[in-house]
Amino acid sequence: MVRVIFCLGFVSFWVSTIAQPKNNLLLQFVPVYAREVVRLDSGIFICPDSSGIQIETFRFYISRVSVYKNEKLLWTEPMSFHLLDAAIPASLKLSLVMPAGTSFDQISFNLGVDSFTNVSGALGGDLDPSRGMYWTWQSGYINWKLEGTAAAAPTRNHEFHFHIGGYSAPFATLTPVILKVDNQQNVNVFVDLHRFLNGIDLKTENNIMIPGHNAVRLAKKAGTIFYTNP
Amino acid sequence: MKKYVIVLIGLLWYMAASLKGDTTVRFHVPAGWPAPVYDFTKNPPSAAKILLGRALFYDPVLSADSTISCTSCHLQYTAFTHVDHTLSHGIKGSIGTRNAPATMNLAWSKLFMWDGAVNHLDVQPLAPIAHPAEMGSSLDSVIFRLQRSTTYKKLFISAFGDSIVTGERLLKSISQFMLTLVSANSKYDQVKNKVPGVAFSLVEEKGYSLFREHCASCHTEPLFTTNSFANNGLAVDTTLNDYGRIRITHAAKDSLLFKIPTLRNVEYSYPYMHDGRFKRLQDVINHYTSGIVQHKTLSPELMRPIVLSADDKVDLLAFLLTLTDKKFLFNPDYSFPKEIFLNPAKE
Repeated sequence: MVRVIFCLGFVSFWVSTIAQPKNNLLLQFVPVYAREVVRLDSGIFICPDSSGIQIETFRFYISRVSVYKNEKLLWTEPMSFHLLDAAIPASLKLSLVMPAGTSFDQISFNLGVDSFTNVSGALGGDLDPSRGMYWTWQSGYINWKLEGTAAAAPTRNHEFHFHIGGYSAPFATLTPVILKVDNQQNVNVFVDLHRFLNGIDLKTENNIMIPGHNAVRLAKKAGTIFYTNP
Repeated sequence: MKKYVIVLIGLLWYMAASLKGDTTVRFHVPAGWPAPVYDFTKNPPSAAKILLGRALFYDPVLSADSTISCTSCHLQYTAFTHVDHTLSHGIKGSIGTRNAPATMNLAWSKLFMWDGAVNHLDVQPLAPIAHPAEMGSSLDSVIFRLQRSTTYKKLFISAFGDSIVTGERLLKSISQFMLTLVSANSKYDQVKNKVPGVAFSLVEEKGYSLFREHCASCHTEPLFTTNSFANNGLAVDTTLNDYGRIRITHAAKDSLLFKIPTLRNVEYSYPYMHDGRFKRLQDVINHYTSGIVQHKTLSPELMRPIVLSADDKVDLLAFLLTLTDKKFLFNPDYSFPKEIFLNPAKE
């Protein structure tokens, strides 16, 4: 009897984890500034142009990673919430496991955390409020955090802070990103901070840390700086 | 065959649960009360988690310099608020901009803080922990400190089976303790529940009907609040310039709106209003009869003056005092957990 249960257990374990063929997609996010890779794991990043910008912190949430073929949704990652941090290389690498034979030509994800999750209390893992991406004076996730210094910013120590978030209308900042892909196993997603920072006049706009019109505008801008082909 | 497997799994689960030594606790909804807003399925209460939350509530370890705990401003004997202090206090003698609210019946509240800045009970403690004029700390530094404490190691093991401290665990445990703070045993409740030998006096009875006529649309029974927001006609204090809910919604219609507080235990929760401007209940009643400042967001119920005679005011006050719940104010389950802090494990 015991042996039967044991065997059954083993077989079901084997069937569920090993035997079933799977599609593995390695989604590698690469923060860049124009053509230069932005790495923050060993210190700040000095922008290689005359902008006088240094980047110190760059972290953002992506959620609801999905794949499509001919605009048709094929698969969505379950419990899909990822905190990506340019200072933690491992966090930029997402390993997605989907059913075998999933052939896709497009991936999508949301930049940020959805409104339902924003009102769901204390959550764990990447969504733990201790990860530095949750506001304290008011509830809600910071979807996008970019901090550094810029010669143009007339602030204390020339600092700029973009904490972009806000989940409820009319200031919702969740931003969908849709990208064409041609590779089924390895996809590099570049995030070009040059495009983001270049669209901002850092002399006048250097501290956005609350939900509102400005955060909505910058979230939309952030959604346009992802691309798969350099 | 299948049946045996299910029984076996059940048995193993039971053994694992009893090994942990934790007991689940059922949340009791008082008779006639609405269903709680808090989703207990996401944070099932247990004795060990409630105890952990209670320890955290009373422990100044949450603050930057270990001087301020939740209870510094939320004292049980005064309905979990800070009597005699108009504005909340924090580390290094700093003073905040708002009056600490009385804290009870939180399972029925959807939004927290005077302006509704906080959308869930679990994340409420983040605000005072991080506010520079309150605890001036941060969740990750609290986690760092708790991880080095043998007292909390024990508490986390009995609550969660291991000693790992996470933000989620910490916040959910504080929620579990705060959710136990249910006040539903005042004289008013006893009259409503027809407890033998308990009845309103004539004065209280008159006060109750005045209350229903003039106050109940915002301070609705049985919670004595609708938990929504209103402009109750207070003049702006120009030393604070606090416009309430508009800070969160950025909507003009929310200018000067503040959360409607419960009136339960109102006898003990002085001073009153978001800035603690009124020391006595009489002052509050006088505000509603003769102090209302007209404003375009003023609550419609207050547009026409409330007329109360001197006798009416006495009656109304007498009714408000029936909302005092001594069992709540002196419930030993809510008090400082001596057993944890007076004989702490070796640090």
